[in-house]
Amino acid sequence: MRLDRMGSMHQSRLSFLRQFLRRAAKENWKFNRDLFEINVNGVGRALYRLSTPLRDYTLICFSHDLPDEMRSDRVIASAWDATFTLYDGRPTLDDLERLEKHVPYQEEGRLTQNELCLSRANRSVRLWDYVLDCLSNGNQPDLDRVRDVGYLMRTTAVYGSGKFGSADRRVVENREEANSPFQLEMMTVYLIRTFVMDLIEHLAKIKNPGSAVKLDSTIRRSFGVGNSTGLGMAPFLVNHPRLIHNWFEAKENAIATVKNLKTATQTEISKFKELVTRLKPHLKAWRSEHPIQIEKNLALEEDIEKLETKLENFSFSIGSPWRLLCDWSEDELSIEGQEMLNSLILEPYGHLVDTFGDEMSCDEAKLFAINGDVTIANVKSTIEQNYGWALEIDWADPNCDARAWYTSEEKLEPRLGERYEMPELNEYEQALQPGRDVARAYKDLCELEPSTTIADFLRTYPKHRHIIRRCLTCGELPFSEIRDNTINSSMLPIDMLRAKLSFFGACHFDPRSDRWVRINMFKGAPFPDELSSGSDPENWIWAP
Amino acid sequence: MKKGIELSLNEYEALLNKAAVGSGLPWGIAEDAAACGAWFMSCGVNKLNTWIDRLKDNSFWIDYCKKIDQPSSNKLNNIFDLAASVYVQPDTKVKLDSYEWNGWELIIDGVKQTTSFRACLSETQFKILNELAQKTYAPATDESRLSGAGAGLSDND
Repeated sequence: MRLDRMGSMHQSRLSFLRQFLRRAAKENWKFNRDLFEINVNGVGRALYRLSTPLRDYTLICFSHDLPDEMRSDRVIASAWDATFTLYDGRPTLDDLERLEKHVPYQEEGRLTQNELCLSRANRSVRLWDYVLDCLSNGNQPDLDRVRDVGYLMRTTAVYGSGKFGSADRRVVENREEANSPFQLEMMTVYLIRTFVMDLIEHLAKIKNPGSAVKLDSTIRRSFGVGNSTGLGMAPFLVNHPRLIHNWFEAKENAIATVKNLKTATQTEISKFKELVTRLKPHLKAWRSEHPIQIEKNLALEEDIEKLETKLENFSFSIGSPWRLLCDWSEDELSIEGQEMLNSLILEPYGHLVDTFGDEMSCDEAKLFAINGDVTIANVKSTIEQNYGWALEIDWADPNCDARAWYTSEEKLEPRLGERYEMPELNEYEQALQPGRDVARAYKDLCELEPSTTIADFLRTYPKHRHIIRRCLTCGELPFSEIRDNTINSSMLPIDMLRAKLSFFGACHFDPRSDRWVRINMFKGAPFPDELSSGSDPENWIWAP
Repeated sequence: MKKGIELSLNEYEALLNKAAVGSGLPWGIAEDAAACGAWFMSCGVNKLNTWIDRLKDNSFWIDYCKKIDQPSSNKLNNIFDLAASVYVQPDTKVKLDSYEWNGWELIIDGVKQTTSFRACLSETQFKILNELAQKTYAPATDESRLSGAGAGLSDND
């Protein structure tokens, strides 16, 4: 796993929102809007319920009237246009009263084990008033303008797994619908999307009851949910090596399964080619002002043309066509293009690859223990095999340890500072630089006899315990480690964010800086009522 | 909700980890100390005050970790030793005084403990842990604010 490749990954059949929609359709989950009480100022509350065969989940929405000057996507914001919690079951009025005192305050509030997720969203100033005006005047918004932004609201955090008092993952992990990673977070975002559509239509009707219209269903589908993601996701990737390994291994296994097929049927080839034709309009609507992403998208555009040309004369009847195509891409396409192809070839093969999605969750207690009887010689050998890249870095070069990851006391916002400009940060640095730490440990390992046990080494050097644990874990799990320097002066945190977001199922990556990216989720996907009426849960991807 | 503070177990373990680092324990030792404290809470072992007191003693936790790493060196003298045996190897069966771990659950004075995913602690305990955790957070400064995601950019679009 290298950062440049992680920063070029795309959604796939195994992405968590795809798994979520697939299950919802297969199990015919029922959808209901149980409450919608929003006043003329857009203030009020609403309840959206999804019923699986075994239980109910309800998104509780609080809608607010936020002055423009208070709108901020940063963690340090204190108010939002809308705030949400996913409730385990059907909330009572007492629950609503209780949660109204907490959810609008987000990190300052407290949840209970009945709540599963906490989230908030801000309106898109570029689109909100425009769409509201169009609908209230009886007109549909211009599709190109809608596609330019892609969402009416963007979430700025979706918290789960016990955060702020909500239920721990262990409470729900044995439920089939919640076992794969982030399934309840995906449910939360999916229901937020529906709420936002209802809200804008409701406000248009209030504004002009005589002439307001609802969104045309095609345009409605063009709205996803935006999301602003900052530095918090980067530490997640480093802090959960066992889980991350399972994500990447599942995807690699899926790709290998398809590459190993000797032939492809006409139906499979047609499906693949149809998706390739969707990429150009998708790319046209993928807007970014970030110079790096602009360059990558230009390369991807060329890649798509090269792929189309290649396919004109490509024979799928010769041995292992998908492997041949992927091998060709490694010589001819940019990393963005290669990763796009890796995602595309999985699409015709749901029957072979979707089950890999069942292997993406993880018991993180696994491999937590350190086998103290292992000798220093063995640990050194493991490090040499897996961390050669880290041992080769000149850590005395200030560019190589230029940054420090830390948490600010200000709403505990994760930050990345310049170590040599703010030397006080050394005191607050977090353990998010495995490369440097393993190089330091290796140096000390060389000081003791190779036959010494690692337990004795750690007694002498307790400061290396975290990294020795990590090395031993990562020795067992080849996809658990980012094989790059996470504190280098030129490191781009957005590469880490993108890898995680691609596993969520995000599209339209639009970096706003080196440490903040906007994305879109569920753009083009069927809404819950459409899913219940039999809409295909898969065939909407790469929507423009 | 009981009087005092209720946290999810995840939240509690993260707080213990930060409190341990804030007390000066190395990162890796703090991970094991936090896991030990969270295990106590999940199994109904009421030892948080002792756990907090132990944070002042680095050598206690270094010895504790050695017991985890080499279970043969672990002579069970107290509940911390039992935790060192059990939470990383839950299929172990051990007995100590009034405590018995049968391979999947803890029995205290003959009473099986139900595993809980919630942590209940007193306001005083919560305050102490937060004060220690606070030592791991960098002070808010204008310069620091510029190193967060989204700094210096307009959000109104």
